[in-house]
Amino acid sequence: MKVLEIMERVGVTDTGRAITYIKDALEEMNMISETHVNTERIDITADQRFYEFPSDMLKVLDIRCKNHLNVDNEYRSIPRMIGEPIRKDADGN
Amino acid sequence: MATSKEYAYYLKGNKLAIVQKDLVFSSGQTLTQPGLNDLGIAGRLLWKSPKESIADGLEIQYVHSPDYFINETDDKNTAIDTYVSLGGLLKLIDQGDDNYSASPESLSDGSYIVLRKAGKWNGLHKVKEAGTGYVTLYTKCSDSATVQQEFEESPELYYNVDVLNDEDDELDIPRYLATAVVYYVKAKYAEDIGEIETKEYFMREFRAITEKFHAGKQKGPFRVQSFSMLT
Repeated sequence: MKVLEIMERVGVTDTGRAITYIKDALEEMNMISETHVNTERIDITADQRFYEFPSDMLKVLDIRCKNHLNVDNEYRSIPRMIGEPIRKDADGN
Repeated sequence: MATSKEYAYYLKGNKLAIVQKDLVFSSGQTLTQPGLNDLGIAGRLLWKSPKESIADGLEIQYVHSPDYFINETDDKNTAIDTYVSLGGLLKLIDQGDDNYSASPESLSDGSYIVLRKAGKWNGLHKVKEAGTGYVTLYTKCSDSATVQQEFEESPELYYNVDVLNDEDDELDIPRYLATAVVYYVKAKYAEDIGEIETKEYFMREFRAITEKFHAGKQKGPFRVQSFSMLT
């Protein structure tokens, strides 16, 4: 469906505002039901605990690590910790 | 042969913390029968920052908003290798000195690009300036202006991109879901004029259609299974 058709169905003529709301709708929609999924691989660095998420990420679906509980170079989902480990990282976090 | 490892994660602000189970105590004693559920006082001591560097060791699967459309995936440049902050803006640098203002990229002020395999810089960006060996974006960047930061992989720069910014653009979602967008936009316009009940009605329709679409992709009943580890 084109932006114009959406505007006609809503009954509005101000394009800029309509497009802003459409973008909001697409984000809200993807928080409920995934339509566009991407996978990004990041290097794990020794003694570096914190990593940045991709800037276009709305919602995490899965976090996997190479060789997690396997020796076949498979990427497997890793569990989320309930608490934080006692040993802190060198950057103090 | 690769060795088996044991990772876990937690969130800290907007960052992802990766920890690895190290089965060696500071006394040198090695545990040979670890238990992932061992999260007691002693167990928590075993979790540390990753012990070794692993290329492409972390994989994040995530959802992004379809507010752009890559027209041709062949129209990409993979020569970008570093970036710096230029007056607070992200500047991509190509050591090979491709001219990004000339064909085929033909980037200029106001053009859009999409970056993939660019780590935290993944996604849609607006171009401020392009030339030989560089592309400066309107994207905010807090980093060094002199020390070039390397990308972990060769980023893919897609330059044939259609951005959702005019009435002729087509939404990159199924038509059924587009009807949910109509309800959302109606809800927002109702909210703007203070019609809260009307807004709530349209939002309910929006969520109902979105959830129906989601449920329509699943066959059979929903099953719930516990994850008997750390979550």
